[in-house]
Amino acid sequence: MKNGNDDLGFDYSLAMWSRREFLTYDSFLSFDATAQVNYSGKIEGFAVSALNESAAFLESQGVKWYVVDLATTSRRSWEPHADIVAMTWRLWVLRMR
Amino acid sequence: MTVSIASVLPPGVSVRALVNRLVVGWATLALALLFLDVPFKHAVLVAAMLLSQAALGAAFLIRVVGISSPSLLLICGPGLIVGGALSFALFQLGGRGVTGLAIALGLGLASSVYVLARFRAPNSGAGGAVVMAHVAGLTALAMSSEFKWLLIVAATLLVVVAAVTSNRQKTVVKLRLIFVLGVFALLLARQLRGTWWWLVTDDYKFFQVIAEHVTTSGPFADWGFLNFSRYHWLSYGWSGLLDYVALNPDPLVILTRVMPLVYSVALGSSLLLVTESVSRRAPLMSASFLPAAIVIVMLPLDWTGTSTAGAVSVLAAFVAVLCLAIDVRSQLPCRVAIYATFGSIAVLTKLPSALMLLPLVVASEMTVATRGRHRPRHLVLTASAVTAAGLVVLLSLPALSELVGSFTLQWGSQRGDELRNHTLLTSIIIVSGRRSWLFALVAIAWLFHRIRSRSEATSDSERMLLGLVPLLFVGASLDATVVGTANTNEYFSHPSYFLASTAVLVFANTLDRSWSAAPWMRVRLPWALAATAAIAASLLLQQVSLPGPSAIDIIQGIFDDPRTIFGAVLLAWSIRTYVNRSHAATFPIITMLVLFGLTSISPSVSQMFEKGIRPTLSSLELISTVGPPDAETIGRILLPPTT
Repeated sequence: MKNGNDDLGFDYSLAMWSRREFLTYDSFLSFDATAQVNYSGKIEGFAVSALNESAAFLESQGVKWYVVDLATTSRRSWEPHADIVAMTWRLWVLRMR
Repeated sequence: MTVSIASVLPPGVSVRALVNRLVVGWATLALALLFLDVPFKHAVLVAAMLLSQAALGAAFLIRVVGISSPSLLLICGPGLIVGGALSFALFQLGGRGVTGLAIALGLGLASSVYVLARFRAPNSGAGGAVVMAHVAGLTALAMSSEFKWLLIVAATLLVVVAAVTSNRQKTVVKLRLIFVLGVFALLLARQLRGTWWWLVTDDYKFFQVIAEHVTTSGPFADWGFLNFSRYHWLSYGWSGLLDYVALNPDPLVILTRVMPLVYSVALGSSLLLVTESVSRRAPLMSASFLPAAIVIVMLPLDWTGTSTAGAVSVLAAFVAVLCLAIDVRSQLPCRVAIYATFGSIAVLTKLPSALMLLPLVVASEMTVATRGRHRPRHLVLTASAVTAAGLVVLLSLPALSELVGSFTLQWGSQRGDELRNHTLLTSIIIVSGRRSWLFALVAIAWLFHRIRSRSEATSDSERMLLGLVPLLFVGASLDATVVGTANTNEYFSHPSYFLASTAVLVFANTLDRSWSAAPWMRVRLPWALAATAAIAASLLLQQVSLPGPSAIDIIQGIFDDPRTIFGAVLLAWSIRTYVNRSHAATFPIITMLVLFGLTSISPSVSQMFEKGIRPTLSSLELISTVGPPDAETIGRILLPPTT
């Protein structure tokens, strides 16, 4: 899954190219917007603060990978919850521990 | 005990003939896919799967409907639609993996032997190649509403087939020249279309993701915080299954290049099958092609949503099977099985199209109830019953809106568009006026049916098609009331208009009896003048802008489309013919249908001239459509190990 700010349609294109299912997508096509809004703080918060609560939530949902949009956070390390395994100029891939 | 294939074949069918039919079908499909930019490895696999799916569906329909010898049109039309759905269901029930695929493919291959052994080769003198060329022409026409360059392909196929099948004397040299020129035109079109011809909307990303989800997790599985069980997923599930069979080509290959082909082939074949049933003979292709082409181009298909255009193909296949069931006098349990099968496919392909289930069932049952009776009142009875069914559909909309929640019903000041200043009734009249050309055309179809039925027995299928005409009013009512995001109202109204427009197919009856006998190519001066005047008047009226009170809005709506004038002229002529009981109708009908066709495709042609055959796609548009390069890079890193 990836944190927010989907100005370039990253969510669906990432899912399309990776053939993986995302925990949440850009909300405009969401069929359960309430649930999405309720959880988006925890999901997107992980990229910014990497709090234990967010990490535990992602683990409970079975999230194995997390794609960080660098435009939305100044954090560059997610120790001890995840390792950086790939990076481009804007997106970094984290493998959840 | 061993059983050889030869021992299960009917007498007179050799294993070699069977293999030949399989190879020809497979190679034709594979060539079409290669032409549409599907890479070779994936094209051959998808072609094999599609062939097995079409055979599976045809075998099912043979058993249900009771057809003894399936035709090419049955296999490529309703067979493909039903087979795609059946094979998707088998794949899902089999666990969505190799086992599911083995079950679907195994049954498909067994069905191929069963169906092709009973295959009825075209006996119209046109031959299988000509039938396939006509289906290919209609397919290109159906796809050209979005992929404009295919108009060149459609025109090329039509010209080549018309030249080959004409009554004029042909030498071998002439035929070879026609063939070479045809191939050259096809290659030229391929060259001119540009690299990204298949990218027409950024919604494709979303649809590709649905296809992947439905294939790997099933349509009812939660998807993170989402649940897509309410979304129309069958066409995307079918796309995902073909992705799986084709060993996962790049995203969008199947969705944007294979699925439009699949649904268009099914649409073209189904419409020709209906024509065959209506005229109660194998189609004399030149005559049946024109009305089928008009039905396709009159209401352009929306390929920005595979399910939107796919729903029209499903309805066409439904109508074709109903015609066959009427022809072979299927019993009630068989008809119920047909209703259930196509009803389910329609619901899962695009929910609004399922609203047409009741009118279709009513039209079919009324036709069966009055079978063999050809008095005018029986047709009026069928049309009245369909009208009643349409009213039930309209009355059910508030409940459906409540249940589904993605659309509302609004009229008068509630609306935010140009209809906000009108009452419900005036809105319906204005919207109907915009489709007055279609009203005129189906009215003419009714009149010619009446003329013919005075001197000959018309088919029951013809009566069923004409009975669907009142759905025009249902479509207009839906357009005037349904409001949702973007073009939601068209999801509801388009199926109604489409079904009503199938009445145009009965023109094949008037055309094919005189197509070869009458010198229809001889120019009739009054008609040429009338057509020219109609075009001039239409163009003139289009320049006039008359905003104002309701009456003017209505008149403006009626004359906004040049086809209204063509229709009015032909309608006036038809009434005169009706009064005179004359049968000399071929030239006027052909003239009007050709004008209707040309007017219908003129927006596509204009767009080709304005934007070029090779439309340019800016880098920003490309990023918005398939995502930024970063997404592809990261996506490929994250690909699961099995892909």
